[in-house]
Amino acid sequence: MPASNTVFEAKWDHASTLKKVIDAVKDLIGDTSWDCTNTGMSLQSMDSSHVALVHVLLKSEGFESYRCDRNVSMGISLNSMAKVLKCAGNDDSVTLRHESESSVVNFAFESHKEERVSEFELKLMNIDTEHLGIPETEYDSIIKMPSADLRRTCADLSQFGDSVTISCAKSDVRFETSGDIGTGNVRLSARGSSDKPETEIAIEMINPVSLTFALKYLNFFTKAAPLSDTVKLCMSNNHPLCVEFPMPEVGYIRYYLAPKIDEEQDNE
Amino acid sequence: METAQASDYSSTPQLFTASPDVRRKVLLVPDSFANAPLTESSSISAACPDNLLMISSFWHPNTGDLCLWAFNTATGDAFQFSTCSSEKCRSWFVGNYVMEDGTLTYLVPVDPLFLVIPFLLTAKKKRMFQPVSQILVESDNSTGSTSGSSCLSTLAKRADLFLRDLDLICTVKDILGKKVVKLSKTKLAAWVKVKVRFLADVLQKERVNVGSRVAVAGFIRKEEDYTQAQFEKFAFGILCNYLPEVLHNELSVALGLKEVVETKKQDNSSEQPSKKSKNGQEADASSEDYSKVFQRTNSAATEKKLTAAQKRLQKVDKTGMKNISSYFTRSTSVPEK
Repeated sequence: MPASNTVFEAKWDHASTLKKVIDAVKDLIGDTSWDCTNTGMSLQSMDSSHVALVHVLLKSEGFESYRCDRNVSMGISLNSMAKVLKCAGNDDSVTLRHESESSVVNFAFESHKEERVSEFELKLMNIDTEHLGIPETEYDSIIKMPSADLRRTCADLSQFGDSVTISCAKSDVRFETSGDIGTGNVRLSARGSSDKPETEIAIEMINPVSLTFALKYLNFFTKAAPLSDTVKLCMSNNHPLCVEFPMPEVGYIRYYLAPKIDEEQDNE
Repeated sequence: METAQASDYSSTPQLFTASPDVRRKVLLVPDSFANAPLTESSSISAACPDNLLMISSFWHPNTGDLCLWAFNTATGDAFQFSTCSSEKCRSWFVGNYVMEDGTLTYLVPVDPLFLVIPFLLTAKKKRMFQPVSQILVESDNSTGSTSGSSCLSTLAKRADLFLRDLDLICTVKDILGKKVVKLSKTKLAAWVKVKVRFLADVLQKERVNVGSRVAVAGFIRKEEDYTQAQFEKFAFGILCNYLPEVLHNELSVALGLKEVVETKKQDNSSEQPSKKSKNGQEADASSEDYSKVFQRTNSAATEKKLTAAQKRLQKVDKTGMKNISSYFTRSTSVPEK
């Protein structure tokens, strides 16, 4: 392949991370465009109802090798990308390649042991994306907790109701819901753990916050739990919730979700 | 205009004798109007006598066109004049006469709240709480029709009667003893939702054909099972005829009804209703395909194929949730393609 035409090439040692990233976001957003710059790959897209926003950043440091000669935007159907990635073993290496003026992106999977090389071409799509500027916000409350805890809490409470009210106080955070069959609430208290930092629950609170969200969306967010042991919930009153799954050295997935606001409160 | 009174809609209409220069129409009116004196809207004052039928032209909440409405000033009910004229070659026998005009006009009860929604919607843009009379009168100045205006001022004067349920769609506040209101989209969605559910129940009970190939609503080709969602969509389609178009999309999302309805191709001629009334009014309900509203409001959504998971998220109740882009600024720094 003439190297001169390739404007973007990125290689992961293991396909598992990329697979998990795509699995975590493909249900919320169908088609999206990956923006590749010399600092890394990122995507930002709203769900079809425009109440949630997904922001994924994969930093160039997280790749085994990364090269981006000029900024490119690749419109890709994430479901198709997931199909292609299904053809890769978890331990295979993945190389993404895009040539200048080309309408495809190449995937190459190489297994380390069996010397099996498979290559796939995925057609790119023309996608009009609207990028939103997300300002760095000082949140009123930031809760850091094990991602498994959040997943379990959301799964448990969704048995009862459609929406959850998350209230953050100084030393604990409450998840409350109510539905036709009854009510449920889960209280998580702050706890430290020096030997296992991934199991600690830390609460940084400037102002107490209480916000209500659609549980189904939160359930979809927790699909990113396999990527990260911890999750950060950032909340401010009347602002979208930010659920961040940090991936050390690789990047992060951030989900934003509009809170349910009682219009009467809003007017006051 | 003349009215004929009937004990109920099924009995034969009778006609008053009148001078021949009056255009005669057969009109069915509900029981409550029997013996009610008829008046022009302009003669209505704040102190209306009881049981008065007031006929006036008023703006249609969906199209904005002027059309005829009847108001019962005793009960505060509103009715729309609807015409059934699907058969061209039809005349009425009235007594010993043949009345050439074979159309049948009847009154369809309509919740008066529908009539004021467009005005409340305009007032909401000001982001202020206002007294009802002010909302109606201010909108009145911007429009030109005198008969519509006088009807509007009657509604404003007698808001306690006609708009007694206003708190169902508006946030009401009491400021220094004066009632001020503002349209609440959350309440509106809940109000429409109840209406959709009632209407869907009736459709289901009456076994109305709600599929996309509706030729005659009462005719069911074979034992077809429709889901509750299909009935609700059809019901919402009917209600959309009385709601301003700008609200259709928003409400269908809020009600969790917005999703890909029919994946069948539109250009397939056999999918179209085989006969469509040329008369644009919603007179002949059986020939209207109310599921179309969804095809129209969903045109953007149907462009993309949604996955099962995305469809589940579409159904989530999103009342009170704002568009996420309203929280963030739009940036223009998009990497070049």
